[in-house]
Amino acid sequence: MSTSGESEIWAVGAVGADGEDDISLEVIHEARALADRLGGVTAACLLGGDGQQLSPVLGQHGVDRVYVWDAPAPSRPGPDWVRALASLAQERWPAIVLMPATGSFRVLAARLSAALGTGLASECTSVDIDGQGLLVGRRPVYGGYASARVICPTARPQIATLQPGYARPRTPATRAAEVVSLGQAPPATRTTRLESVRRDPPMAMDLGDADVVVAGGRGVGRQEGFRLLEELARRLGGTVAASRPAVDAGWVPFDRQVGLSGRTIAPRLYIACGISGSSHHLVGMKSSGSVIAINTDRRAPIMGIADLALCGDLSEVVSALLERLPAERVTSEGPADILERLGGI
Amino acid sequence: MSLRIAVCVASVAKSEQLVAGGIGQRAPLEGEFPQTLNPADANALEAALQIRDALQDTQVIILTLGPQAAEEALREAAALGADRAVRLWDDSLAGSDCLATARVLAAAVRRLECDLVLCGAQSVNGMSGSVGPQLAELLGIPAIPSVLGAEMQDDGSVLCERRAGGGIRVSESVSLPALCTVEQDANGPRYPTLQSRLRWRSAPMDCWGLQDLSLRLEEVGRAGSLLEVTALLPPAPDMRDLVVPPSDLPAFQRLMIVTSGGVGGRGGSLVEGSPEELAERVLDHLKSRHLL
Repeated sequence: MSTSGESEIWAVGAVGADGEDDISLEVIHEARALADRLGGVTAACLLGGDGQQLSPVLGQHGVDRVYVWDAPAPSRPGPDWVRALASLAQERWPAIVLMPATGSFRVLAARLSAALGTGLASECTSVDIDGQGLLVGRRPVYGGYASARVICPTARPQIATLQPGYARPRTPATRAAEVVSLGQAPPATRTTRLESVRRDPPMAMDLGDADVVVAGGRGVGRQEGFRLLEELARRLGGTVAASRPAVDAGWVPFDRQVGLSGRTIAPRLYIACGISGSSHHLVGMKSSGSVIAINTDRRAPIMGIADLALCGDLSEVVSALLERLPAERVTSEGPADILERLGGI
Repeated sequence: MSLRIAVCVASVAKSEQLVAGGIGQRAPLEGEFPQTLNPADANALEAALQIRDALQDTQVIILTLGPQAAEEALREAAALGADRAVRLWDDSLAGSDCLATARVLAAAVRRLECDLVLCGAQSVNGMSGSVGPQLAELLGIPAIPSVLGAEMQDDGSVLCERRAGGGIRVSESVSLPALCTVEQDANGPRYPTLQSRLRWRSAPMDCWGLQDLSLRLEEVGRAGSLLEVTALLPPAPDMRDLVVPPSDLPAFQRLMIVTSGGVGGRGGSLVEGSPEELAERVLDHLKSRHLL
């Protein structure tokens, strides 16, 4: 327990330069909810970044305290984070540490639990506080056919990782977040050397993983029509999806289906080609960052919800678009940026 | 150069059988379900065997923590081509959680002086995915997650291809000692030969206990486990939000909400024109949203 007797709930996560990162916000909001139930405070742990600049943003999301280490730029989880967080945890003894169950945070959480000799409830779909004031994580087990409630009764901190997309939306009350400077960040230790970076071809890329999704529906007309969409996806560095009619017609495999009976995705860009936009489809893609619809029917529901609705023949429009796009997506990220994003583990 | 690879595997109950057996309402009993090799661990083993195929003087050792019942899965794995297989068990190791399991494996890896440790990304029973990185932390070595393939290089480092999110694959090299967690379906595990199956069917198996591993009673097994499962429940409901319009709205508006999937307009614009004009509009849109 911390010296002042208050329980701290930590939210550890990467916060983008603008302080808005959905995955982190989910974790921060859950940390806030746990703190409210425990009568504790919420602390966000940031390695690098401008604490003074970020504190009002984090305060708006219910954060009471921001721990920040001096580092040239916001950094992604690596071995330096394990050391930094472990030593701060041994000083402050937070009751709970929450992280997103994504990418290198999964590794960070596991390494931190081993370094501190405490339990980790990983891949939780929800977290709560029980009657004894313990963190209860609910997590899938046995291939997802069951879920388990887990607690860590004795060791501290209680660490949990949260799967994105499960948290209930919350609107925490704004607080004035106090910034606690922790001095120089521990030196970043890079244990791996980046050799090459490449993008998966569209049909090999996981649907949930893609930034850009080009989706086709009944309007594509035939299986060959999807080749055009695949090429568009390749040029944009994304993948191909489909609505149910296109999957039922056998033009694309089921693992590409978006909607109520398929996947729910939220890419940065969703291009709907020849998809009318039934509610069953829309629930699967409505959280996409930007939606472009191409359809011959200007009254199709998808046209009403798109950021850009194009009334035209999809093969003509896509062909014209392909003529204007570079042959390969030029990624704005250099290898160094990508390494930063990955973190060295 | 001699290389020693440890592959950590788990014996798991098959999911289909668990469903038929009513898991979701209760925990499985010891020995109730037939055990098999955890799928991702078969991929980790295949990755190790591919390294051995390419490099002379390489030894692949399979480790598992588990009771007698786990021996079946261990023999199954060993028959694929292991040089050695060790089961880690005595009664004091029963009930180990992820971290306690990682401690047992760490002790075995140290005793065997392995340079490279390969684990499956996740077991289909526990689904935590934390044993691998915890083991790496205890050994003080790097952990490379989401590995699809690993290859030894001339300078003695390992070149790993791995998924990095956003549909990006990276190749990274790491000096040994190191640990990789291998994705399920990263490769196609080979089949055992009949000869090797027969040999491992009856081969005597090493079994190391607490003393062999120089572990203390209080750091492993039930005594050393910190995480407690308090309930086993049916799967958590899918949080995909279904649209339920507020009941105080007129029927027409409620119908509109339902048929639109609860998706409000984004204030977008409808554009008509020639394909070329429309394509230009798309490019402008992509540029303005920094998507190009």
